[in-house]
Amino acid sequence: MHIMEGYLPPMWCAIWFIISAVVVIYGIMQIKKYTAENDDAMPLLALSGAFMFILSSLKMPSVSGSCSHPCGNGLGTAFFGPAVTAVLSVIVLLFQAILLAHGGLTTLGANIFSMGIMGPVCGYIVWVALRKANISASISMFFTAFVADLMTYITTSVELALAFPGADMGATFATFFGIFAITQIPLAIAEGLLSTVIYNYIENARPDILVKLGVISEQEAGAN
Amino acid sequence: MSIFEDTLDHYSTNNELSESNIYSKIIFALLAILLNLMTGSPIFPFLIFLLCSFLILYFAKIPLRFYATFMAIPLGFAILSGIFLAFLGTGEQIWTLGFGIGITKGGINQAMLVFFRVLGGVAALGFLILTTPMNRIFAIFHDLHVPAVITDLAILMYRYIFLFLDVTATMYNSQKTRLGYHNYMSWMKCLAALAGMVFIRTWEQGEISYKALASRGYNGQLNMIREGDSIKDVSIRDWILIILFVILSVFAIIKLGNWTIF
Repeated sequence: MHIMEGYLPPMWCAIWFIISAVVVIYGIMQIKKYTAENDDAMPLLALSGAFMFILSSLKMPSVSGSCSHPCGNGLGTAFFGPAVTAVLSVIVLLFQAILLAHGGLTTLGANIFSMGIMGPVCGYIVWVALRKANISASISMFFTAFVADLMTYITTSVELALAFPGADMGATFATFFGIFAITQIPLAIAEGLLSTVIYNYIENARPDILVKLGVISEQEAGAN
Repeated sequence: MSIFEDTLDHYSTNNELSESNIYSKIIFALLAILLNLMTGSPIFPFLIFLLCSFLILYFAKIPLRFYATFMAIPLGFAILSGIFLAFLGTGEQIWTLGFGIGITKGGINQAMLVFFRVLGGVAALGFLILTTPMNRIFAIFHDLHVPAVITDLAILMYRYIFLFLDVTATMYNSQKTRLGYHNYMSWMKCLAALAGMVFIRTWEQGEISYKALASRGYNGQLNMIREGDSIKDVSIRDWILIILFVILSVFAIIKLGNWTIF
């Protein structure tokens, strides 16, 4: 769910821009270092970004019967890490704004913060924790995508509640959160399932890619 | 399958304003978006909406039907969230739903303001994206000193998005003709196979692209001829129109103040 152009008051646009800029600049520095060391990183990063964009243009069936599209940030963060995902999501969101008019230019900062930073970072923490605990990659993938998706919406509802506090900020947040939670938890579960099945598919077909990305170890790939 | 066929990209490269100086368009659109946010009255965003729609339909000659479908999705969302915001206001309730929830005067005014701001904002954004081809926007990136890594990534991504949307659409159609997507579980399975396959294809394409680039002396940086309009080429007529627009807008914003319909 992207916040539309013109939806946020100017002050909040600026605040989210500044917060996001700090993280994105860090991500750009990471990518610069990465591409300077590996020549082949650039085309692969670009293709991964294109993949994220295409993923977000696919229709996903939800448990509740409605249709939505996957965020793709869970898959991205597990494969490439949160810093790279943040930068890729900047470009993906910019493209969505100027190719499809989803989201907008002034609300770009807020959307980057929810979709490119909070979601992936929380997802990444879950991913690392579960992988440390020796839980299989498919199951970790489900929870990573679930958490990343859900955190994206929770952050969006925080952003909206801060911008439109109404009579009582807590109550407003509860309302926004209630609406998002009812509609989004089924979607988050669907995205988790979808990411797991995508992951399994890739693991069966090309485990070497996942080994190269450092998602799984050689032994795990060999076991298949 | 998607909204991409017969799309925005087609119209943005084939309209009456595609060839005009990008800086005039981008300066106007950004100013319109910013001024649109500064106002406290729903009237001004509505004027922005009228102005931008006029420019899009009359000068750029975008078909009305396409413009209507372009605006429909954001508008639907804006109406929904407007209704929602109307219930959030403070003060005396003029219509009560029960459970202590009701529409207040402040709520309606806030909802109107946000609704028209979205309307104006999307129209101004629409003016920019419907009249400006993407490759020209990349030239702006260079002038704004966006890091070369980002520009290169964006250019490569833009190219591959359309390449792979084509692949995705073909795969989707072939899955459909083989009775894919007929129920929930099959939908999940087909979609996962589609996304997984697209990922593998993109990865392989990435490796191939790298080999192709490496054989031509690639060392981690794409060297492209940057050509495009310069900010110096903006005609005096455009500058005068833009300045006139800003002066009139500021005047209108001050004059209208926080004037509301209710």
